[in-house]
Amino acid sequence: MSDLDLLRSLGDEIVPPSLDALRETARRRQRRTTTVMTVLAAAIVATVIGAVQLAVPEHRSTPPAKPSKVDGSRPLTHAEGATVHYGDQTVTMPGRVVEIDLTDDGVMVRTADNRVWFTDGSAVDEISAIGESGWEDESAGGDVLWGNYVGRMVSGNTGSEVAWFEFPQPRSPEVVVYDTGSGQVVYHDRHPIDLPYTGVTSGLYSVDAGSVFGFTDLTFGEELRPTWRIELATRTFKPMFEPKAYEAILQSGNLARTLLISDRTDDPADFVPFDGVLELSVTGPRVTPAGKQPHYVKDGLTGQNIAFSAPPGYPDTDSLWLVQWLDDDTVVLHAKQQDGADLLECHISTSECSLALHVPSNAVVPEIG
Amino acid sequence: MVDRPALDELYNASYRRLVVQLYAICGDLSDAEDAVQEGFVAALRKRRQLAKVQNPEAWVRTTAINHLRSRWRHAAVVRKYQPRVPGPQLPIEVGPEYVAIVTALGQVDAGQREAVVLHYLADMGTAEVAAELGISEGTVKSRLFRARERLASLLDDKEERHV
Repeated sequence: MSDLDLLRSLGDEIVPPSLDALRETARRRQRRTTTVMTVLAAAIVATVIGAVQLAVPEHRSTPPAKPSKVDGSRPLTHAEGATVHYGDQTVTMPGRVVEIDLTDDGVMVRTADNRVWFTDGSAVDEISAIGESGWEDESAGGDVLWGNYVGRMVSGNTGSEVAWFEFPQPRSPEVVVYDTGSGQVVYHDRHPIDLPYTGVTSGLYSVDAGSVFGFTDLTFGEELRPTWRIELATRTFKPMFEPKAYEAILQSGNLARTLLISDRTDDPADFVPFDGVLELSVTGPRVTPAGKQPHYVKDGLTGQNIAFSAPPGYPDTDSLWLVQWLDDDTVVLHAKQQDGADLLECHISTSECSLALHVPSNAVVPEIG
Repeated sequence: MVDRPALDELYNASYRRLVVQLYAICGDLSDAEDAVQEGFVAALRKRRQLAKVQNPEAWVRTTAINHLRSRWRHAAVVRKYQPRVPGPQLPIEVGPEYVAIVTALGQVDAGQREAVVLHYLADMGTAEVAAELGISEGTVKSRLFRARERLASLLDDKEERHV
C-alpha cells in the first residue's frame, strides 16, 4: 500500500485555520445548549455512580422481532390552503393548514394559528392549541426549531399515537400524547427537563404505543437522535445516552414500514433500523437513495432493497423525499418540479413508481416522524 | 478536562494528517477539512469527555467520520442555523498523483475504504480498526484483503493505461 503512503505528503500543503477560530465556533454553539448540557452532564454523572435507569438495557437482551405485516392502509393525503385531501375525501379546516401528520385513524392537522385538529375524513375535532413557545434565538434569526423546523407534531408510520409540545406559558413546554383511535389524551405532563431560558433547543423525535422520544441537545455536527424518552405505561422518564439505544428499541419492535439503513456496506450486519426521512433522487430510469444520507437502504419487512424504476420519461430530479407509507408495500415520494410537485406512489415488491398526483408547490404533505 | 496547551498540541500535531485521512475516505478535500474542523469543535465543547479517552486523536477522527456520515433528520434545517467552521484556509490544487489514489479508493466499497484508511493511513492495528468500526477483527481482515485486491487492480489498470 505504498500508494497510500504518498497521500501523507499531501498534508504538508494543508494550512490549518487558527484553533482560536474553532474556539469561537465552539463558543457560539455552546451558548445555545449550555443549560441542557449541564442537565445532561448531571444525568451522566448520576448514571456513572450507579443509577440504573440508563438508556434501555431492557432492550439489549431482546432478540430482533420477526417483522410481520401490518393491517390497514393509509390513504394518499395532502393539503392545499384550508383543504385536506384524505384519499377520496375532502375536508375543509377552519384555517390554513401548515402541517399534517397521519395515524391509522385519520389526519392530525395544525392550522396557521397553531391549533391542532383531527379528522377522519368527515368530522373535524379540535384537539388542542399549542400556544407560543417563547423559544426565540436572535442569533439564529428567530425561533430555532419552532419557527423553522418542519413540524411540531410527530406520529409513527403505524399506530394511533401522535405527540406534540404544548405551551400554556411561553418557555414552559408540556408533552402531550394523543391516541386518535380512542380520542383520548394518554399522556400530558410538563417537559421532563427544565429548559429555563431562551435559546435552548428541544424537540420531539417520535412516538409509538410504548414511548414518546425527544431530544434536548441539538448537537451541531453530530447525528440528531433522541436523548430521552418517556415510557407511557409507567410515565417514567429515561435518558438515552448509549449508542444505538434508539435503534435497539426499533429493532425490538415490528420493522414493517420501517427502513433498514447502512452507510458503509451492504453487509446485513451493518444495517440498523431507521424511521426518519429518506432522501432519494431520479437519475435516468432509476429512483435511488441519495444525498447526505445512507445509500444502502432496505425494507424492514421484506429486506428488499429500496430502489425503484421511475415512471417512463420522468425527468432527472434531485431531492425526492419519502413522505408517507400507504401500506406495507407502498410509499409516497414527494418530488418538487418547476410547476409544482409530484406525488409518486412506489411499490417495494415490484420496484415500480407511478405518478399519483400533481400538486401545487405549496401543498402540505405528511411528515415522517 | 483537557487543558488548553494539550488541545493546542493535539491540533498542531494531528490536523493535517486527519484531513488527509478524511480526504481518503470522502474524496473531497473541502469536505474533509470541514469534517476535521467539526471534530475539533466537538473536542473543544466536550473537553471533559475527551480527557477520559485514551486516544484523543482517534476520538476527533471518529467524530469527524461521523460528521461525514451525517444522517440526521431535517439536516438542511439544522445546517441552515449552524455556526460555521472556518473551512479550508487556502485553495489547494491536489496533484494528479493524489487524485489517482483517491479516485481508486472511491471505487472501493465504503466499509472497505474506511478499514484501509484506518489501517494504512492512521496506522491502526486490525484489532483497533475492529473496535473503531464496531465489527469483528476477522471482518476487518477480510475487508482489507478485498480492498487490497481491488485497489491493486484499479491502480495497475491506471498505470497500464498511462503507459
